[in-house]
Amino acid sequence: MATILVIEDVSAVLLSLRIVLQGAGHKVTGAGDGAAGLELIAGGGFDLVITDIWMPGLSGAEVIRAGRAQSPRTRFLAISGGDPNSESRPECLASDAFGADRLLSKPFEKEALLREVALLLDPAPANSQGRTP
Amino acid sequence: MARALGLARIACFEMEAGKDGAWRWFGATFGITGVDGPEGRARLLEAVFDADRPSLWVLLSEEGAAAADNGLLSVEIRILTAHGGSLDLQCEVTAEPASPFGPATLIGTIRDVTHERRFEADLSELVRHNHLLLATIDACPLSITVSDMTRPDAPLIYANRRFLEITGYQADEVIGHNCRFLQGPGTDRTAVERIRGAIARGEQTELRLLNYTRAGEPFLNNLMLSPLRDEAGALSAYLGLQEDVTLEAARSEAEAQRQKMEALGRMMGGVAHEVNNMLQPIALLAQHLLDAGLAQGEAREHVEVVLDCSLKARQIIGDLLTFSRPATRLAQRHAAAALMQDALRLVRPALPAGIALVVQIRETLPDVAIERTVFAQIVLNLATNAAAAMQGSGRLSVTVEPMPSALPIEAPSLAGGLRIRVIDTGCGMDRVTLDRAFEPFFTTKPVGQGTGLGLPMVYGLVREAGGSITLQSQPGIGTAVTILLPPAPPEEMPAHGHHPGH
Ligand SMILES: Cc1cc2nc3c(=O)[nH]c(=O)nc-3n(C[C@H](O)[C@H](O)[C@H](O)COP(=O)(O)O)c2cc1C
Repeated sequence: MATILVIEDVSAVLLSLRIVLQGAGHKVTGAGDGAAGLELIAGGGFDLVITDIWMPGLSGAEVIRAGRAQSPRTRFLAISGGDPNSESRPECLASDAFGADRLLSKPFEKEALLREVALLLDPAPANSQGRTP
Repeated sequence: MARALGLARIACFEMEAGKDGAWRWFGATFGITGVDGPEGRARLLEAVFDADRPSLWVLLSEEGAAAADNGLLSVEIRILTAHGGSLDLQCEVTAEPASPFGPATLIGTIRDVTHERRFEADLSELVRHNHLLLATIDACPLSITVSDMTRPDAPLIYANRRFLEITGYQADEVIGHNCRFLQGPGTDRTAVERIRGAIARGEQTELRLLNYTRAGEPFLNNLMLSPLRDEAGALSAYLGLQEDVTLEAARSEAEAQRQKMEALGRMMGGVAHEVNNMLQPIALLAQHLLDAGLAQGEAREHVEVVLDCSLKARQIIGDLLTFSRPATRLAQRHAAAALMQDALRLVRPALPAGIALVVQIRETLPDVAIERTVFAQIVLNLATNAAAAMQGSGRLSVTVEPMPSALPIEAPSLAGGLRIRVIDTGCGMDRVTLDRAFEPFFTTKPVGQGTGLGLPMVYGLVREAGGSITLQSQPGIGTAVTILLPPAPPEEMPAHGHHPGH
């Protein structure tokens, strides 16, 4: 059981993540945009932050950069449905995963989500490197 | 007589051998001011241009008489006039030998030929000038023709070298004929109609139409016609400028295609982002309903359908993104023949029994840099499309060969590469369908049979590999897909499976 912050501007997506993560026994806090999310991160105490990348206002990449500075021990999982503004670049090709520890392309299955979350929360060092293939 | 000589500007003179042996000038008469009278000889020798003086001296001396004994002696000299001008004079003498009736005599004429010489000089300048002009027009890199509109059926009266180069004809094969001999079966009749109309109205016009060389090779001709009128304003001739714009047109068509696909790709990126977001709750919540046992019996079955659909939709979006994916992957070097053999292993089982697969793979082929799976995906997609177009029976031919060196290509990087052709005997496509064939979701298959993403995906994958793809099709006859792939770069390719940032 971990404390997880989900930052996502589409409320239905936020709802579904919350339900699945809570169903897996985690404590979930939600934020509707990057600024609200950063404020919560500053308050401390999150094991994992799951953030959307392309949001109005602060982007997920900016949230991750600022969030890591404020809370070095927190892990970051980026979720993205593809860049809406430029060519349709598949997210798995983003060279630095937007600064996150792992990256999931939307829509992902429940099983994939829980696997990534478990991987990030598991302190075993073998799992801490490498990104989504 | 004097008047006549005066008008003709001719003077006559006589010289006689004196008793002392010196020649006596009897004076010129008539005609040319300045040389008449007894002083004429001295004046003449004074006024003559230095360059001409020796030859005049010879003419008017004993030497002249000696030479004239053999016939007519003639020199042309130029003299300075009292007004500072100059005159061209032609002097001729004949000798009369001494006789019992008199001493030896020289009889001469001096003719003012200034006008003739001036005219000749002007004429040769004009000829030289015209010659230069003609040579310039002939060497002009633009094809230039002129038709005589005063003769029946407006025959060509001039065609420059470039015209002959473009069309492959000899000058004598075209002069005297109406220029319509360049037209052929593929020529747009409405374009010809427009030319005829413009010429009938004496208007200038510019248009493009398909023409054929002497060897029957088609080329796109950018034709410009301009009327030429005489002083009275009557149409006398037409000037025709031709330009072979075949390659340029192919390039700009490819460029327009690329821009269209790029714009579509950007739009698709936006759509994909939205749809992917909307699919997320469907996938997660449906799974949650199943896992938490919240849906039972029939409801459970329905939720399973919903989940299944959301996953299929994700697949469609994924395929959609492929078609405009920028080139980010690094691919390994492969022997083209092996690549095709591998791909065909996947194709064969996918073809209905009624379709004959004819494969031609040339022996020496350039290596290409492309991912094995990407290549297989391209071939499989094309084969599936072809099979659908043939509705279960026909012939699918696949050829792999080095790119013919004479082939006009849109990008120099393709030179020395590979040409792959996939030709079916299916239903073919009309022009409208052909133009839109690479657009995502533009499908001709009945709803449910195809997503309309096959060709767009192939397009994306080929572009990603640095290649080009073109379609030719005839309704009822079949479709030919031509893919050009660049040769693999000469240096060592990175190990297979290496992707930056992974
Ligand atoms: C000076 C001149 C040059 C022409 N050059 C071409 C040409 O290059 N290609 C072509 O298809 N028609 C050319 N035409 C048009 C044809 O000669 C002809 O006018 C046209 O086919 C329409 O007449 P028609 O309907 O009697 O054939 C040219 C006409 C003129 C007067």
